[in-house]
Amino acid sequence: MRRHVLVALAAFAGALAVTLGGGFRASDATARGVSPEDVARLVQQFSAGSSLSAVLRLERAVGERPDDTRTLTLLGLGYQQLARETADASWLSRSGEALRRVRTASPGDPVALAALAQLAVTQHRFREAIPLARRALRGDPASSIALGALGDALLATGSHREGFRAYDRLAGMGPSVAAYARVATARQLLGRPEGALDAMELAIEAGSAIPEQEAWALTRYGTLLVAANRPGDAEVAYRRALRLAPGYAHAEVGLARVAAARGHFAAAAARLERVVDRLPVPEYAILRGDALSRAGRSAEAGKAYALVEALERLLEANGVRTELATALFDLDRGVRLHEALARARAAHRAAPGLTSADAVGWGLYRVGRCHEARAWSRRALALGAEDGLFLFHRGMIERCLEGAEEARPWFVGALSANPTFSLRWAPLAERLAR
Amino acid sequence: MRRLAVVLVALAALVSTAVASAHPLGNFTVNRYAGIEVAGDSVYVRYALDLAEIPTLQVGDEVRAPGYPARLARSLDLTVDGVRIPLRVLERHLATRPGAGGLSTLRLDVVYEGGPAGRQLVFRDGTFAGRVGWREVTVSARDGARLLRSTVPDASSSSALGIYPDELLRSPPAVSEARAVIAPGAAAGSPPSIRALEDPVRATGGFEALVERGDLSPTVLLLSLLVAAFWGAAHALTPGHGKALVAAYLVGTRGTPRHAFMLGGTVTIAHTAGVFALGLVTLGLSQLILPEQLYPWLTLVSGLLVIGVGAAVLRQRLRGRHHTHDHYHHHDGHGSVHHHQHDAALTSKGILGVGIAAGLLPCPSALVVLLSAIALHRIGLGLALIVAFSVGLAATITAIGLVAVLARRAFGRLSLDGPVVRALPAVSAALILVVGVVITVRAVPGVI
Repeated sequence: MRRHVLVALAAFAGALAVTLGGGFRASDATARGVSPEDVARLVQQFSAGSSLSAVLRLERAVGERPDDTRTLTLLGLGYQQLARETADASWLSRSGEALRRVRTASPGDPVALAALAQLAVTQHRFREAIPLARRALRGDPASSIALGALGDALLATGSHREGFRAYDRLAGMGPSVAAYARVATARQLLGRPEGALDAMELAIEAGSAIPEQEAWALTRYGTLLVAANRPGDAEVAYRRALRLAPGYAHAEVGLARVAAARGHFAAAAARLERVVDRLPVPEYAILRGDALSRAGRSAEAGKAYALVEALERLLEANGVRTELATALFDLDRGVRLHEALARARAAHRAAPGLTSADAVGWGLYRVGRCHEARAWSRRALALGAEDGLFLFHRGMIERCLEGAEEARPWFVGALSANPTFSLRWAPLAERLAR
Repeated sequence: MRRLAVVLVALAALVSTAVASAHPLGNFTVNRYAGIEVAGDSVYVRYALDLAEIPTLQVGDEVRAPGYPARLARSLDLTVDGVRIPLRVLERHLATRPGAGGLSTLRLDVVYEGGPAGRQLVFRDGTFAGRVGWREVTVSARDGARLLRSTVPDASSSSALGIYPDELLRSPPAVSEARAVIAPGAAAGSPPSIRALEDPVRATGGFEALVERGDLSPTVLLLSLLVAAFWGAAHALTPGHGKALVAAYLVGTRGTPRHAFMLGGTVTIAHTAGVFALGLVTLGLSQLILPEQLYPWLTLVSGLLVIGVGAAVLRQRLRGRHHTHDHYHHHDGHGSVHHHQHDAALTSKGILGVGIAAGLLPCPSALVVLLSAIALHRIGLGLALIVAFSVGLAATITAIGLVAVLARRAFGRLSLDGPVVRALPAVSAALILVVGVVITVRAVPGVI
């Protein structure tokens, strides 16, 4: 799940800064209305940490001139930046509305198409993102927003070769957070964690005019460091991110992960509580429940899990059936197994990437269909990803089919890929690796 | 009646989706409104907190605790001429409503008393910092006090979190601070009240209270619908609602029991449609017009409609009596068939008019239910309750119509050709006219 979120975040990431910064120049001829100066001004406002007031100004301008596609495009991008900064998804629907208006007025506008593709990736509508990004690239072959979104969507839907090619093109356009962060993602998927760390260091070096973008890169770097069992370095990265973007939720969660990696589960839970109070998303709510139960506070953990169940019901009520986090949550706890497996399958149909393949395999294992589970797990590990959770899932499947002795190397592998790959399962992996 | 059944089924389908409607601003939002009111020489804070599903789950128990408004006040920083004013709780109101996914949402209303007003007023709302949602502050002055300068508007754009404006490209306000310069009044002013603020969408009891119920299991829903129907039936017995009109019409047109049922059905449809239409108009024009201002107009239309129907029936009666008389003399057997057809045509056209006139008479409690339902984001429930209410109303009216029809027949059988019976149709037509005139006359002062 974490990777799923990271891929989405990567899509969101730096693309704005890159495209708005440098990449735009190439698109002058085609991008009707939006000039590099407009964008530079917008980035300046974001960098001053006043994204909200910039967006409010754009809203007023759109209110005065509702047909001005230039302002609408900037507003659509501004909303996406606000969503990144606050992790509040309601900004995304506003972005969609603004950009769709641009599209109605000028259907071929490559900037609006690229921004719509990026939005689709953020909202996990990967299959919609691909044609949008391709159309944007036809209008402007140098659109880095479109290239990033295309690569992200292709990877999420299992077209790895093509996805990596899009990332290569993006990287060829010059150093940027967006490009290097995606190189890191690719290396991670290919099982090269050291190479991923190197790429993220370059991403941070490349920097961004928007503080939140740099904070995002630092957070991403920190997460890789936690997996590499370097919690001290990770903490430094997360704290730098929080200095750049005070209250940045993803960095707060990172510090909680560091605390958990050091065995300070109560401290991790306390930090996560502050995040979840503000930002009740399933992934962080689950993490908080896991931290509480590792801290031995099972009653509070039960309350935390109740929140996850409520979020799950809301997602269902809103017609979302592809949410992997809650499917894994049910599978992990052994409740509503068949429904959760069905949800994982639906998620895989929507985005047949590695994460969803792993989830289907885990679901099949949990309902006792270990042979089928192994086939799915092979798909998830086909690229050679060094993912602790994937490897642990495979270990459990092998244990079901071949026995404890045969399965042991998988658990050793899971723990060496990431000793804190899961608050819930790491202790079991340690026991089974012995 | 089949059409009515179709309408009911369609509405029932609406309910099932609308009951589970999510909070309009998103399931995660904590929405806050602080209205600083300077009334005469004192300052008050009218506070509203509207929690969507997830915050309700997270902090609902805390917010429901009796001491919560006092705790909340510690995060509401009101300074008057540089001195921080402690806020005292005057009034508190809690409402739980069903939200999406079988969860509930929670609304807390509090009126705080701040003490004597000064010239410089500074307010800061420090509650739920960092949580997404609507954040609105207003400053207003009344009862002799005057607002000289203010950094915030004096009226709430959400009607104190009652109705959230649905503009897609407009960020929700994120205002948690206000500064104002005031000229306080000399005498004491009246404190704001939750009731005044919630009008006209406040539920007061009986039928209206149904919409405010908490959790809605299918049993509770069914029970609510039955209670609503009962309320409608009982409500029809209170003055108004065209009982006299219906009875008089059926007597005047020699209606049959079938006509009484048709009339009941028409009343139900007309009443439901009337309330929905009024509700929609009220909602659409809520920035411009209060529903109270619409009532008289609707009454006027209804009165004029009744006059029209009365005049038509009277004319038909006077002409028809002549007409029937002729037939009786020349070809008796044939004439009676002819006569029957003639009357039936008249009745089904007239029934529509009378049914609409009777149903159109605005029923304030039904409208209150609809508006409450809209304000509480439970539109589907409100619609269903109104249909049930209208069905109850129609049942009573049909019963009264049946009594009138049967009574007329019994009356007719007793003294077949008395002068009273012969005059009855014309008399009842005149009665309809009188009812129409009375309704119209009563409506006129409200309109002008």
